[in-house]
Amino acid sequence: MKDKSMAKSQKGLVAWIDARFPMTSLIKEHLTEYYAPKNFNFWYYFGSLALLVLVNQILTGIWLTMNYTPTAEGAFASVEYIMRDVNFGWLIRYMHSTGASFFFIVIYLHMFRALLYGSFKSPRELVWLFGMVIFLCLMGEAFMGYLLPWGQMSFWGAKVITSLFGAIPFVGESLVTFITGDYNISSVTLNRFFSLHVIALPLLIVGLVATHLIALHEVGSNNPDGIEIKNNKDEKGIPVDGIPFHPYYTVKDIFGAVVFLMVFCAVIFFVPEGFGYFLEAPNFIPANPLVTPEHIAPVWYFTPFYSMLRAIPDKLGGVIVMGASIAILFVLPWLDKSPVKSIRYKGAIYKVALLLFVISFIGLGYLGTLPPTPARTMFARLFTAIYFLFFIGMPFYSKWDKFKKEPSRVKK
Amino acid sequence: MSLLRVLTKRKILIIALISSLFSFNLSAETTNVSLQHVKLDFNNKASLQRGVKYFVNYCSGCHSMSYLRYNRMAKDLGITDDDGVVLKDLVKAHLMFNTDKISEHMDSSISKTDAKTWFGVVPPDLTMSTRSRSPDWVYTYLKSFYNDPSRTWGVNNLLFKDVAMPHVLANLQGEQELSYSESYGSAHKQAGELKIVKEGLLTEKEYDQMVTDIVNFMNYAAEPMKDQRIHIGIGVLLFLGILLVLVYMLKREYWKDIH
Repeated sequence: MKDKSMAKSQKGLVAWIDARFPMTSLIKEHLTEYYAPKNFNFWYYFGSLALLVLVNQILTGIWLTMNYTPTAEGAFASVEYIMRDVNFGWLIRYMHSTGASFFFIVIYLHMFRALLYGSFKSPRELVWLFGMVIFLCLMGEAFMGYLLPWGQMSFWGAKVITSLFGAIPFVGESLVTFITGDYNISSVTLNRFFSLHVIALPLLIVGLVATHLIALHEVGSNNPDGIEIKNNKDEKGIPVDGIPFHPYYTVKDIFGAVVFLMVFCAVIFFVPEGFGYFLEAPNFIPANPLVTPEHIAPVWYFTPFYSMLRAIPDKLGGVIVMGASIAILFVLPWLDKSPVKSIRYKGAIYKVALLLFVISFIGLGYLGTLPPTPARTMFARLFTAIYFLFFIGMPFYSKWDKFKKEPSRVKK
Repeated sequence: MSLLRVLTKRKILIIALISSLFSFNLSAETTNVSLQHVKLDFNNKASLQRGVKYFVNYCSGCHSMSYLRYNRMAKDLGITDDDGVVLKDLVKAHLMFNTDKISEHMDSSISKTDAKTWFGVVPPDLTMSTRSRSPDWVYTYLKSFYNDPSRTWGVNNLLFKDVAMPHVLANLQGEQELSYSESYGSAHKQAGELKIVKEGLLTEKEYDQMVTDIVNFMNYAAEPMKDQRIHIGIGVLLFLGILLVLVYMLKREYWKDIH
C-alpha cells in the first residue's frame, strides 16, 4: 500500500505483485520499452514463429505422452490407438509430426536471415552461439522423437545413425552400446530416447531459448540494413529508428503467425504425410529387425548432412566431415571480416558465395533423399566442397569484396 | 570482374545440372513395373461395403487388420440403422467368422506359428498397406499374379518377386501368364506383358471393379478419419482466412504512424 505512489495509475493487484515480483518493470524492459528496429522484413518473422512451433510441439507432445506406450511391443500400436481411438488423437499426432518438419523449415529460414544480414556479427556472437546450441539440441530431439513411433524407418534410421559413433577409434563400439543401452536398437533404446525426447532435451531447449532471447535483448536486434540503431538516439535516449516491440511487433507477429498457421493447417488437414516427406511411408510398417527396408534415408531435414556423410568414402572421414559441417557454423562470427553486416552493402562476391551455398545446401538435401549413384556421389562431393568453401574462404573473400557505405538511418 | 563472370557461369552450369537430377522412382519394391492407377472414392459407401465383404471373405483368413475395430468400420461404412446405431447382428452374421466382440479389432484367426510353417513368413497386417506402399501399388499387386511353376503355390507376382502369397483371387480373375520378350538381341529375358490364359468367373472389368472396391476399403482402413480431417480442415482454413483479414487490418491500423 505504501508503494502506490510508484505505480501511478495502477493500483490494487498490480501494485501488490510489483512489490513482490518485477512484473511491470519486466514488461517495460522487454516489451513496451524494448526498442526494435522499425524496418524488420519477411525474414524477421521466423524467430517468433519458431517460438510458436516450440509451444506447439510441447503442448501436442504432452497430450501424446498421455496415451503413448514407450516399449517395443506397444509403441506402434499405441500410436495407432491415438490416431483412431483417442478423440481427436489424429489431430494431435498430425500437429506434432507436421510441427517437427515445420520447426526445421522455420529454423533454416531463421538461420538464413542471419547469413543475409550479418546478425551473427559483433555484438551478437553469443546470440548466434546459443542459437547454434539450440540447433544441435533440436537435431537430437528430432532424431530421438523419430524412433518413438517404432516403424521400419524409425528403427533402421536409428540403427544407421547410432552405428556412426562406432567409427570413432578406440571408444567407438563401447560408445554405441552406451548410447543404445543394448547390443542392438531395442526396447531399452526406445525407453531412454523417450525420456530424453519428452523431458531432458525439451527442458534444455526451453532454457536455451530463454538465454538466446536474454542475450538478444542485451544488445538489441540487428536489422536488414545491418546498422546499429542504438548509435542514433533522441534526447530521451530512445533510438530514432526504434519502435517499441509491444504493440508494433506483437501485432505484426500475430499477423505472421496467422499466415503461418494457414500453411501449417493446410498441411495438417490436407497433406499430413507431406508427400511422403513428413510421415514417411515405410514408417507405417512396424519395426522389424530382420527386414531391412529397401532404401534407408533420414528424414528430409537431415538429408543435407547425410549427403555429406555418404559423399566421403571413409566411414570415420564421413562422420568427421558431417560433424565439421555443423561445427564450422559455430565460428562464423569470426570468419566474416567484412566491415559491413548486411548483404545490402556487401559486394558481388558475397552474393555469389551465398547463392552457391544455398544451391549446395538444397542440392545436398535433395541428393540425400535418393539412393546413391556414381553421378549423384560426384555432385554430393562438389556440393560438400562448395558448402565448406563458403566458410573457409570467407576470411579472405570478405576482405577482398567491395562494400558500400552503410546509411546512418534505416531504409524503409 | 572476370572472377565474377567465371562464378556466374558456374552458377548457371550448376543450376542446369541440378535440374537433370530430377528423376524419381516412385515404386516401392525392387521393380521398375509401372503402377496402374486406381480411382478411389472414400465417399462411395457401397464400394466400401463391398470392399469389406471381399476383404473379410478372401483376405482375413490369413491377414489381420489389427488396428481397425469392427464397430468403427461398421459405423463409418454406414452399416447402421437410421439413428446411426451399428447393426450388430448384421455385422456378426456376415462380416465376422469368429467369436470376437464387435468392439474388438479385426484380427485374423490364423495361428502365427502355423502361418510361418505354411508360408515361410507371417502374412503381414494390412491395415496400413495403402499408406506404406500406395493404393496404386496394392491395386496393381492384386492384378499382377502370374503362373510360375517354380514357386510353391505355382504363382509369382510382378510387383513382389517370389512372394509367399498364393493367388487367392485366381478363380475370379483367372490365371495369367507372363510373356517374355528379348530386348536388343540380348540373351537376357525381359519381363513383358501379362495375359489371361485361363478365364475366371469375372470379366476383366468386373475383376477390376472388385479390386478397386478392396483397395478402396483398405485405403479407408489405413486412415478412417480422412473424411473428418478434410471436412474440419476446410472450416479451419476458412476461419483463418477471415482472421487473416482482420489481423492484417489491425496491424495496418497500429503501423500507420510508422514511416
